[in-house]
Amino acid sequence: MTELAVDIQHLVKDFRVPLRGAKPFRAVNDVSLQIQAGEVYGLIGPNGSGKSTTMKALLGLVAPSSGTCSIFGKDSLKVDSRNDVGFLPENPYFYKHLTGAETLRFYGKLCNLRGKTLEDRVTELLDLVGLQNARDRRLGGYSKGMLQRIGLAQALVQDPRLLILDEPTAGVDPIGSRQIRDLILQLRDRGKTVFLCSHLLEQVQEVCDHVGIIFQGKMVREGKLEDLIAVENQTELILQDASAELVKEIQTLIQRDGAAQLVRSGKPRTTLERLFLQETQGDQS
Amino acid sequence: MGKQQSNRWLQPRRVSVIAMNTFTQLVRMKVFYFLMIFSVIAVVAQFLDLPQYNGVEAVYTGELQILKDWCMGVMKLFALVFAIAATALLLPKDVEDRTLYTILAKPVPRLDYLVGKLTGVLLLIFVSLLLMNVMMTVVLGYRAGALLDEQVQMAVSRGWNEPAIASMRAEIQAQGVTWSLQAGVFAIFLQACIVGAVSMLLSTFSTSTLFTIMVSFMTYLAGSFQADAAEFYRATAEAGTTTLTSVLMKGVALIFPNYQLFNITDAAMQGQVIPLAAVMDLTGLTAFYVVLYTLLSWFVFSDKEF
Amino acid sequence: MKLWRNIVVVFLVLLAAGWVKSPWEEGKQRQFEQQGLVWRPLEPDVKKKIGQTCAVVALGGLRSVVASFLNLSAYGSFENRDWVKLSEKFDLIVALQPRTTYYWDVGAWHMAYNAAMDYKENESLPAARQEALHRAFVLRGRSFLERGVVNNPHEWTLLSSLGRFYGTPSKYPDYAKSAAAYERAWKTGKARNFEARAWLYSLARVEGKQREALALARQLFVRDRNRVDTLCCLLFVLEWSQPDAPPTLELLRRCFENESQALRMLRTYRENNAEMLPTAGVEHAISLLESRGVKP
Repeated sequence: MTELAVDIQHLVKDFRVPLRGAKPFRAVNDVSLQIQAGEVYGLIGPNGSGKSTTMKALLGLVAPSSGTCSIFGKDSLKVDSRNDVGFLPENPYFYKHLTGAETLRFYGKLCNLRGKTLEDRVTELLDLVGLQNARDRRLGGYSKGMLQRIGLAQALVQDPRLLILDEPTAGVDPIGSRQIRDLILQLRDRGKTVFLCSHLLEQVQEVCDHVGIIFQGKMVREGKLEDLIAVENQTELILQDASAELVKEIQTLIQRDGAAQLVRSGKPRTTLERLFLQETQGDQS
Repeated sequence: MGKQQSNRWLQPRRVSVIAMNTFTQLVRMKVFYFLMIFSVIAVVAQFLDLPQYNGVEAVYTGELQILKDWCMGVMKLFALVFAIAATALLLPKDVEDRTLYTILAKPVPRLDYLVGKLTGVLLLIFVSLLLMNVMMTVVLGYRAGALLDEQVQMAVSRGWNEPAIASMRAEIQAQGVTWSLQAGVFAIFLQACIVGAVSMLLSTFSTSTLFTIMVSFMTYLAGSFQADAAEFYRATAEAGTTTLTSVLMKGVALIFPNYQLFNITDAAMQGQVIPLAAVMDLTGLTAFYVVLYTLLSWFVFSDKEF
Repeated sequence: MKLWRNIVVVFLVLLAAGWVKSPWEEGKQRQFEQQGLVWRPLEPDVKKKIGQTCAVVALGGLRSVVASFLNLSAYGSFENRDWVKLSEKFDLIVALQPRTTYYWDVGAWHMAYNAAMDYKENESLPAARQEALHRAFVLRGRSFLERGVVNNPHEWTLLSSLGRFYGTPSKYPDYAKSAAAYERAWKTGKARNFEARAWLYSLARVEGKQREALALARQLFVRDRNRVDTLCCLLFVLEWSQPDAPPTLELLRRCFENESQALRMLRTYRENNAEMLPTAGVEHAISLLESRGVKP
């Protein structure tokens, strides 16, 4: 059995409401989830459903009202559990007065990296996220997409086994968004565990292996992505350079089978995103 | 990579990384530039703008006195304002910008974070005071030297004997650059350390920078008044006339630090000799308060949620 | 809830820590006050104390900056001849920085000299007003300086200034007080020989103190450095004024190096006596020397 990267058991988090006599607001209501090492897990839900709170509990930024969270077996409330984690918060700003390289160096030093090891790591990460040209520019001059990428680099600085990403593509343009998604897939291929949360469902669909749907603090649905989104009783066939006669023949075959039914035929549509990328990058996806 | 490091509290390297980052952050802030430039000009302005009276018989070392008054006053004002304002904005800024999350998501104990922040501010105050002190020392040394030459020349021309000249030389030099004057500057720094620590404690309670600044300033005033409060209580207790007011005064005396002790700066400015023991006492007292307030800050900050 | 819990805990810990540190801190305060390292400003009357002391203490270590600013501002008042404002500013300045002798000196000088003279020469005022204001400001300057001395009892420069203020003939002199001030200045052990001589000059002008003045003059005369013209002449005058004084010529020889010097010094003494020092016997001595054909 592979190691559990994340183990959240019956997490409950209540927040006090400033009004006198009001009941506390339950942001997370008995949520349990496990993430195996090497998986990409997506936690999705509308705004205010408890996604960020769950992540913060995992990182020790908030203390659970009850329940436990652990990372690779270490209790989230202990500092030691953070050795193996890299975190990218939602809409981060970082220190504007630092350059890209200085930022990574700062976080690297906090993780006890030093000297040549640190410098090499900084260069490697800047290459990975595509910010070599901006390494000596202050973060105050970075675009949103660049900030997200430097954020990702910072999360990776100590080469953690687990990455926690809160809305990694929020507010980023399609190109930047695609780059981030490609990066996540790369990391998965390198054996990293990724725990991300988002309300951009299409993007989650493209990268995640496992998905959990959280709504009003409760986990309402959870499981492998493929299992969840497969429309059980439908089959898809996509043909290229098929003649009209062949199509007619297939339609006849379907009619002959009593149980099956032709739902739809016609030209498949590309997505607007693919079109955009095609036009702006000459991407053939 | 990411070797298993010790995550014990107060790892020096981690604290110094945060401290240096804070230092750099403050230095690169425009506000700091303006404050620094203002202070430099204020100190240097002494060279130019001193009102010169002709006819005052006994100016003598008086001009050195007011030069010191001015420069040390500027230094004290700068240190105070900076200790309060810079510390007050650091934590709220990190929370607002969410940089705090990324730092605490790394294996950084919260105590290290607090100590690093405070150290960064105090380091900046120290360096700034050092700079201003050097400038003041140069100007003062020059002025005292000029005065000494002028007075010695006059004395020689009037036929003074050696002991008299030596006595006058000692008197002028006592108003010039002395170790006691440096002790006075050091006392300014020590007081700034306590003020900064108080400000940090207040900022762990409140996320409003303005609120922290106002309350920090009020605690500074209270601390300046503390010795009188203690004295008031002592007098009424001895006379047996304890009232609610005097009990309140005792409360003030207990809670707030006694900032009047740091007014040895004034004595240093007047050319008095400051004993080393006094400096050691103040250093010890400062250490006590800084540790106390830092631990209390940690207590509040350690289970703060973001 | 947690916020209030934290506030209470912090408050209690501060109280407890305060209980621990209080005796030591209060002891240090007393010790520092004794050593003169810190001080609370002295205010003679209680009403003032309540108003100013709170503000002064509250400003704490920022006193010196505020005093410096006020000093600059006072210079403006000086240029504008706004004497009342100037006096008020200096009152505040010395309340803030009672130990900076410069402020006491300059403030008193402004009042007793600049302001007083300005009123005296102010054509737009009737003569009686001119005189009244002149006197008022001279006295104001003097009492200002007196307060300075009370705050800084060991500062010879202030005592010397006070002596001068009391000893100027055109400024309603009180030579007894002048002599007392110079004496205190001299006895601090840090004053110059000038203060000792000034003590003598003032003492010599006090009714009924001739014997003391003579004793002092003799004492000072012993040292070469003190044998300035004025002192030699004054010694001669005081000796000559004694009922059992020796003959004039002998006195002249005692007090001066030679007759020629004596004649020169005495003539100058007689002509330049703005200080209004006693002159008994000077005319007689000059006539005697001239009749002997002495050339200055």
